[in-house]
Amino acid sequence: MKKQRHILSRIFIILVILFLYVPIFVLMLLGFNESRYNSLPFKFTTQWYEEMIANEALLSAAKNSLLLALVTGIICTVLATLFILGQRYLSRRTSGLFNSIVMMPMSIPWLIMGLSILLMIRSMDFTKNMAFVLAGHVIISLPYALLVLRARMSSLDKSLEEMSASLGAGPLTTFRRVTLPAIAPAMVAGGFLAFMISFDNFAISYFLIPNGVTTLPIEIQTSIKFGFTPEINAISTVIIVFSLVILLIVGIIMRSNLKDMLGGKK
Amino acid sequence: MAKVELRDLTKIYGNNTVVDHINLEVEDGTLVSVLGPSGCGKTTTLRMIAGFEMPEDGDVLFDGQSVGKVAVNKRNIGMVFQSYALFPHMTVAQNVAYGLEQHAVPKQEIPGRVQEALEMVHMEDYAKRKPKQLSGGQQQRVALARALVIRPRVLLLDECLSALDKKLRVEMQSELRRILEETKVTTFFVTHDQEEAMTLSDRIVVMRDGIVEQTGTPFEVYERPASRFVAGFLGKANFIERDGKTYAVRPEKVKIGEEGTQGARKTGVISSLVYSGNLTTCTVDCGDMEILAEISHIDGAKRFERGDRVSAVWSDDAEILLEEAEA
Ligand SMILES: Nc1ncnc2c1ncn2[C@@H]1O[C@H](COP(=O)(O)OP(=O)(O)O)[C@@H](O)[C@H]1O
Ligand SMILES: [Mg+2]
Repeated sequence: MKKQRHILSRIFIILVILFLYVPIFVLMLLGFNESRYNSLPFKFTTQWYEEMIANEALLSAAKNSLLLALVTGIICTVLATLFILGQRYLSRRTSGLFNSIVMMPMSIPWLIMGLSILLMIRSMDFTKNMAFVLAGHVIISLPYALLVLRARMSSLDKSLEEMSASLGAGPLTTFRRVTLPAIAPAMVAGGFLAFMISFDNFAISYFLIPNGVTTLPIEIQTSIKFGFTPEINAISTVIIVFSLVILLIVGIIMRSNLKDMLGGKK
Repeated sequence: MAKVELRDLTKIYGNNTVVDHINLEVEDGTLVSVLGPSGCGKTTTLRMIAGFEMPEDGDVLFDGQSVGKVAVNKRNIGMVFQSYALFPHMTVAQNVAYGLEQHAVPKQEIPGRVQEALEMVHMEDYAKRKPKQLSGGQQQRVALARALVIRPRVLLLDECLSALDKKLRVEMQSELRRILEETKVTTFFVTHDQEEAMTLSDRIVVMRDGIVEQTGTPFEVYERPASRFVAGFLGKANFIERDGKTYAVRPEKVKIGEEGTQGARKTGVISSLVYSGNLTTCTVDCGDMEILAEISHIDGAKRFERGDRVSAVWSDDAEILLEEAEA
């Protein structure tokens, strides 16, 4: 009986993992398949990767997405850090109130968020430009960066800073030598999540992007409209590998903290 | 190293006066324990001496000079918190060197001073470790080395032994005593543990609800407690009411004899006997009150049983007259 339950629970776990990863695995595999229509039997080729590299539109979209995500990640890291550091000097109630306000965009669907920013741009007679796209991305990514940062910074002990002061360090030295190193892993983790949210975002970009500019999610969506080619598999695989590499780098930076970061623990 | 004075030092949070016009003079090189129950304002007092909290009233003086307007990082204090607060991203040696760097000690002198400080706390073999790789007691030592290496004028220790287990704590107490005698730094040692305060300090400041109840040597506060609170907080005491006055009698000064013993003060029935090796604590129910007696086993035989009727005896000079009229 006990043994059975043991086996059953393993089967459940394996099913969940399959559910999560089979589609991705199939996608990656078919990027190396010769058939244009993703049909079997499987014949290995790197043709789609070659076509992808030659696809100017896709590459420029990828470049835009990267840049956008990078800037979003940096801005979110700085804002989230300042916000959380500032919050420590507020009373519990005020800080809680501010917190709800910045976290709010997390519970508003991105679709609505994008639409409302678009309406605002229209009603104020602005023309669409990348600054609005960036602003939109920052708005939706910031709560996630905050979430990660806060989870880890709750472990930032005020007594460390007090200790630094008692040892003769001024506020700037304390920040540079004690506060910053203590929160740096959290900042990297928060920035990374913001980067990913932005890189992945379709809805906000779709509403706000100026004519003639695309991001990777938009480009992929557009090209699927004209028929799904394995080129998409190829670019998707590149994105996945790219994400994993970033994750790995972040993991190395944070050493043993990777597990905590993924689990959102301190 | 400095003489420290607190003058009418007061801290108010909202409408809660946490420290209420404390006056205190601590001679240079003295180890003072600040003793009191949790929440009585010990930490707050210490934090005002350090400069982390601004007093609502009063002043702190080092060597007769006010430091009220001096920022924490200019006060030249050493601190050890209960949580140790070692910098987690620095090695033991870097932690200890940190304060020296802030005090602009010449670079070539730093390694020597760090080594010296680590040797003092017997942690020289751990210089390259990170705090995470140390046990609680070891972290404690490093924190102490870090606080002392800058040769502070005043050392402030806040319940810094409380997180250690009993055996280690006792060990660290004598270690601390040795180190502080070597360095001769004026030290405030905050604790809620009366035993710790008794064994460690030159003087004890007993606090209660933000005020100082009594200041004195361990002998004075134990043998001549000024109030019922002090008598009860530092060890056990029987309180005897007579002629509108309250006297305290320490249980170890009470002797138990057969009923009707000469000079019996109280008579009653033994309601409990607790054996704890070197002595037996005996509770005598005398009807209107209970008398606590600690009987040492010098003469070997345990003569009484629960339920025995006995008399409690003590001499006149075992009675300590308490000052206050408080119930
Ligand atoms: N920052 C603060 N704000 C409000 N009340 C505080 C603050 N710090 C301490 N207190 C209150 O002051 C009292 C004394 O605290 P503390 O000095 O930490 O006591 P102790 O160290 O003797 O246990 C407690 O009742 C505590 O709740
Ligand atoms: Mg305290």
